[in-house]
Amino acid sequence: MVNEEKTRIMIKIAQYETDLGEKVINEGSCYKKDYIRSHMLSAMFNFSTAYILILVLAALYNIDYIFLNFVTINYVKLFFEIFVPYFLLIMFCAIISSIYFNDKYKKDREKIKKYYVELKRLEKYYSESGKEAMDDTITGA
Amino acid sequence: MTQLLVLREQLQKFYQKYTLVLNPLFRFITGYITFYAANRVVGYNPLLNQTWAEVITGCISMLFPVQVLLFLASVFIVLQIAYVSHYLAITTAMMFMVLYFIYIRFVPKHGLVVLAMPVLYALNIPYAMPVLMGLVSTPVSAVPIVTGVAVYYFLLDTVYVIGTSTEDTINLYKLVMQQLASDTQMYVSVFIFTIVTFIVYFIRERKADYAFEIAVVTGSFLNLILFLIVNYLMDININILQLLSGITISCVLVWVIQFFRLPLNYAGAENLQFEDDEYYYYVRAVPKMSISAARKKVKRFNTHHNAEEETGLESNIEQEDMDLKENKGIMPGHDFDFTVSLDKEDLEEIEKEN
Repeated sequence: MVNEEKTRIMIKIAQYETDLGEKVINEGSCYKKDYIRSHMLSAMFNFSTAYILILVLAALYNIDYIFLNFVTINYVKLFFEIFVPYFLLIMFCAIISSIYFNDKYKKDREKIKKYYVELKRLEKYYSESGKEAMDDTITGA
Repeated sequence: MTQLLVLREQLQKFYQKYTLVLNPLFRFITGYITFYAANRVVGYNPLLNQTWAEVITGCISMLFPVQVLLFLASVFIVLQIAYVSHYLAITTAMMFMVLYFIYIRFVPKHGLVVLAMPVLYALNIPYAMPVLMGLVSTPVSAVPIVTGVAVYYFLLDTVYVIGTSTEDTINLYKLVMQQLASDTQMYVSVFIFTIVTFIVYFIRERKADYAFEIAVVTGSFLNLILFLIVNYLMDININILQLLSGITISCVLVWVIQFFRLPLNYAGAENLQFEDDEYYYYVRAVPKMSISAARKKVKRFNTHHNAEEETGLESNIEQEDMDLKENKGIMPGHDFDFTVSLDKEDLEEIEKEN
């Protein structure tokens, strides 16, 4: 027999899973610090890769100048011209991403709380009816 | 209007009924249009510039989520450019990667707007995007629109430089960048689309009747006026006929999207006032327009107690009806649906009589 109450709970859980997405639900179990640090590192990696690519594109644009003045280029000055903006960019990226992901973590937690409430209801339902869920991935979490 | 609402209702029901089929179909159509547009802009490779290639790539994009389409389209464009210039293909791929790492990686939804802009340009309806984004999104959506415009003009300038050069050197990349930096049409488009997005958003946020519709018309009109003024002042060689037709189609397209998204009945608007402990509220509630499509319904009158027996009897009688139709050749026009259900007592009485 189909149990209406159980079906309703499971539909709600499935809706939350669809809305939130697997990634957000999985990250919901992370500690705040771990969550923010991992995303900060990811953002810094992305920006570093993009910066390197932009440098390569800039070098290709000025390829004629580089070949002509290969010996006379002041490499110490060039090093600072490249790394100072990079350092500033990474600092900026770290600050912005920590603020952004801190806020995102709070918002996601609020959403996930509702999802966990429904999961607990389902768990309670099973324990009250004397049947434990055989497969804990049955809702797709 | 009523007919349109009925059509909307029917289409929504049709979509709900066949979601499993329609979703992949829409993905295929989106993919096909994207690759068709890519071929119209940078169709160099004779192997890829074929209808069957567009269909196959459309089928591939049908199998993946919409986000993957962005990656596939980028690869497709790079392969097209690689046919004529390896250097330009490499630099184009690097630019797409930069775009991904610093922007689309963090806001994947914006990636679709970036992709849509060159596609809409190829279909001559780019004017729809700023109006639509102003209508459904926030002013931040001007950023992906501007990026999409830059991508389109980058491709256009790449085509121009390839067309005018005779040899494949790294200097082509420099020429493309110089051409892009001096492209007045790109700057004009960026400026106008940003203004239109802001204005449309500003109007649709007003608490006025028909704010959405006014926003669509004003946005389209603003597109037209600004492009005409800039064309007159700066002489940027805009085809007036194409501009007019593009803006008209865009306006109609956005209006249709708005109608299917959120039709409001301003005639039935209510102004409510109430209070709680802390505030006094002035609320204006505008009902959504909705209408139920007429539906034929056959009602069955049963007098029964036992559901299982009823089902058994009904199926028997229906089977008998089917048999009768087959044997006696009853025409479909005389197809009466009538069910008789009998109680246990009635059945016993009948059995006794027999």
